Amino acid sequence: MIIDAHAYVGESIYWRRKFEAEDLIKRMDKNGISMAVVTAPPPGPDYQAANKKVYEAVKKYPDRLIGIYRANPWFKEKELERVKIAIKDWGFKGIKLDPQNDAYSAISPLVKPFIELAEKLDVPVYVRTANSQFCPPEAVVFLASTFPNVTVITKHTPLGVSLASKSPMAEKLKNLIFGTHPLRGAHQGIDRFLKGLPVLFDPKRVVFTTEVPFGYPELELKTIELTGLDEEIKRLILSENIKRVLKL
Amino acid sequence: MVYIDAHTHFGKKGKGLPPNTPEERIKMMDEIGMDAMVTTPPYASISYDRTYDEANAFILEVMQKYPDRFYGLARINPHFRKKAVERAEKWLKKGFWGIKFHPRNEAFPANSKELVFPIMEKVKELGGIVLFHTGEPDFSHPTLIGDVADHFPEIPIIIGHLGKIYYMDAILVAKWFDNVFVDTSFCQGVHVIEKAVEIAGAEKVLYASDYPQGSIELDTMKVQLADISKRDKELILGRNIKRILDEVKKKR
Repeated sequence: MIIDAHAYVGESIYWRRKFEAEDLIKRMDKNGISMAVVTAPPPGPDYQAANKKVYEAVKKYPDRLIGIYRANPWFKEKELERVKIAIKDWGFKGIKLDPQNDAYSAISPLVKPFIELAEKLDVPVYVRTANSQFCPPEAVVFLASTFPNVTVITKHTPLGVSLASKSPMAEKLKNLIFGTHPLRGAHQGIDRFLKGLPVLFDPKRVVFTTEVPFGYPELELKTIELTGLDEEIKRLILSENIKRVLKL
Repeated sequence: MVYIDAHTHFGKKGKGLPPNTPEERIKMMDEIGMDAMVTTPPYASISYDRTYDEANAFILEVMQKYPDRFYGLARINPHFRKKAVERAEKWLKKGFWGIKFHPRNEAFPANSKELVFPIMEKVKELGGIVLFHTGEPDFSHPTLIGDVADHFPEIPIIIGHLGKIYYMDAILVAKWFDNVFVDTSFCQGVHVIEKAVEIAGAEKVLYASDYPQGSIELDTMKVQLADISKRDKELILGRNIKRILDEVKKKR
């Protein structure tokens, strides 16, 4: 079983065309992906309509899609209320924060109430990291170490990996989970990161993500295949870890 | 279809990642239908041979044995100043197709008038292409390659790794300068290749893998997955670099 722990549904100026739930299901079927965790794409700033679209998609395909609420902390209290509704009433399983696309620092006071709410609701927070002053890997690592009871899911970054893989930081960052996308791009290539994963740290802390349609499931799956990892580790990355994190 | 990898590395056993013999590489290329590869000494050379004399000699030997399968670019460390220019002259005269610079690993600004330009003058005189590693701030930022291209419009210049995170800078430099191309090795994703084709044109994009550090299979897949025409894919996968190499041959 393969679960994509991060995909998108909706409309974005960054895509050439709409990416509807049916488009995602088609891509999943083509690549043998059983389920996908979906969220609304950038840009915002107001994601109410985009989140509603994700909700509709999840309602239509409850056995295939799992919703994550994309929150913009600039809307403060109102957005916190919307997050509560999405988690409690819509059945969404987590919160997505994208400091780069919504222009705030990942460690800004704006963010704190959202992480605290995630802790209270017992859901993970997806935090984008990028080569950006808003969300460098250090900021995401800082968030994870400040809120040890909240699971923080982020992209693979060389810095994040090195901090999370070496003691004493590793002990403090057990709540930090890495998505595999983008599988290529770093100098050494994440395929090498994946190959070294059992040596680096606990493989329970890596989840398979494609970020389709920004990313390509075909490419990401091929990379995992080429790593030649142990089948048990592949199983953890491809489905078991995200099942555990989202309590599926 | 022409299938040529525009950026690979090659070192003999103990001096680079395997495969380490030309026969092993040719077997691998034959299995996947690859016609040839542009190749240069590996990163590892820096630790034991900062002159690259031994590593370049190995590539020359490989090229002489299989001239249709390997197009060598000599690695030059420009910090050797006058000797570096002499080395560039020696290797180009022996048959190398151009020069590879690594501004990050050898710590020099890609557009250094003191270090890089004298070697560029030699390439201009003898003919050849120049490949730059790019993708970091300061020394290897792709906009610096624009400055080099502006001074040497006669020389085909390749921005290696499509500028990595600075891909938009790399694409715009390739659009701006007729003699600048981008290679896809270690680039940030399929969308970057689509952007490069849209803005700079498919004629400016060269498929590359940085093999054996990178994966030929994955980097070829990136081009195949791109939402571009069949013709554009053919240009990128080999016709462009072939055209550039043919022009070098014609001028010599």
